[in-house]
Amino acid sequence: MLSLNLPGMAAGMLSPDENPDWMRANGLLFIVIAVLLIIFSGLFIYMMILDKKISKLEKQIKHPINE
Amino acid sequence: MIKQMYKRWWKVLGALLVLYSILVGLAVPVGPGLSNLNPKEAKTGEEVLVQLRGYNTHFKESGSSLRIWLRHKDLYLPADQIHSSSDWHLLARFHIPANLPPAYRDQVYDVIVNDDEDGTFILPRAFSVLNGETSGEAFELPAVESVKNNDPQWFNFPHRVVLYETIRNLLFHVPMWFAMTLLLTFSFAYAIAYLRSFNPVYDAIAAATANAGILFGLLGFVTGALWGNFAWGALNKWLLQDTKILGALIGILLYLAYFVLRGALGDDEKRARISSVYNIFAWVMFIVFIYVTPRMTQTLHPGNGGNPAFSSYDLDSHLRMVFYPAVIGWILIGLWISSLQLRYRLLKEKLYDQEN
Repeated sequence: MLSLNLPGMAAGMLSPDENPDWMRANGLLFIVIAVLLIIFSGLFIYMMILDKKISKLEKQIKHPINE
Repeated sequence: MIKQMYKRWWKVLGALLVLYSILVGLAVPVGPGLSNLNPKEAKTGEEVLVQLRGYNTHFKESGSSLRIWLRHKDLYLPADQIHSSSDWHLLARFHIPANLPPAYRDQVYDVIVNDDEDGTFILPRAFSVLNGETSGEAFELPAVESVKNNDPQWFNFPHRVVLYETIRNLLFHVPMWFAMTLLLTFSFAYAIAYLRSFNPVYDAIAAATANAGILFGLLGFVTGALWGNFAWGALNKWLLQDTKILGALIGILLYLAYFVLRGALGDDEKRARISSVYNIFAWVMFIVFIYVTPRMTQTLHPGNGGNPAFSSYDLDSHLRMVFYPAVIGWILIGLWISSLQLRYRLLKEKLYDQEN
């Protein structure tokens, strides 16, 4: 486009080679991932508990307390 | 209702909608914005070379269509030279006039960028013009050139300062509350239905939907706390002070008490009657705490003070295309979980009846 003579370009300026995706790290995308992880681990734990309850029920059907 | 419970289509639909919301919700880029600039100030009469860093911008690709202004009120000060070394990086040279009237000196200017690919975007209050040289020459406002388009030419979610990428959480955190509200409303409706008919199945439905509702409430609470910790600052500054969050916490506790009550009452019919009455009161309190009081007072949550309905969420048409399917998907998942809870409860009751 045009060539600029850039005095003082060296010190205190932003490095032009920086990863364009630096904001994805600092852009808080990891919070979105963490939110998704919370949701799915929450669902997983809930399902595990329900699974356990149903297993207990199955056991009771197989071995009734009062014959 | 009960018949639909054993059908598969709506469960598959729910899973697909949630999958769609996660895939699209993570894949769509947020819109263009400026993330930083250097230096951040200049004096009148100076020539200043400003380095700008863009986020999701296409500076190089847009080539000569790139334009930059410093703006204060009606003054748009264009850069007289622009050089983009890459798509996310550019240099702009501004000449701050020495004859700037006093009203435009010692002011904080917005930085505005426009290019054909990205449209117009602003970094508000980012650049200070300080009082330097003065000149008696008459000042004329520079003419503002018209731009080709103001909107990005690519599909994006809104770029919001502070939120950045976390705007996507709107697609995951908010549907938790929508699903919870619907499930608890189902629970309320079946509590009433039980009191009208004394059909024990209705009581089991009320308990099952409330159970799944609480799950979504807890998930909404934890995800909100995490999101807010970054968007609103340290947790202890707002978590137990915000009206809506306190309301949600009280609401969840009300429903936990519902299950404590159910656990404490052994007798089936008595349990069903008392807990149904309690359920009705709990639901009314919950609606008041979570949807009414936050509108009457203040909360950090957008779309609450006053009566703005949906309009003041940060929802734009692109977000809506993912948000509504996500809400429907999570509601269906919630109903699926409730149906498993219900089948468990009905089986348990059957077994209990057989044993006695």
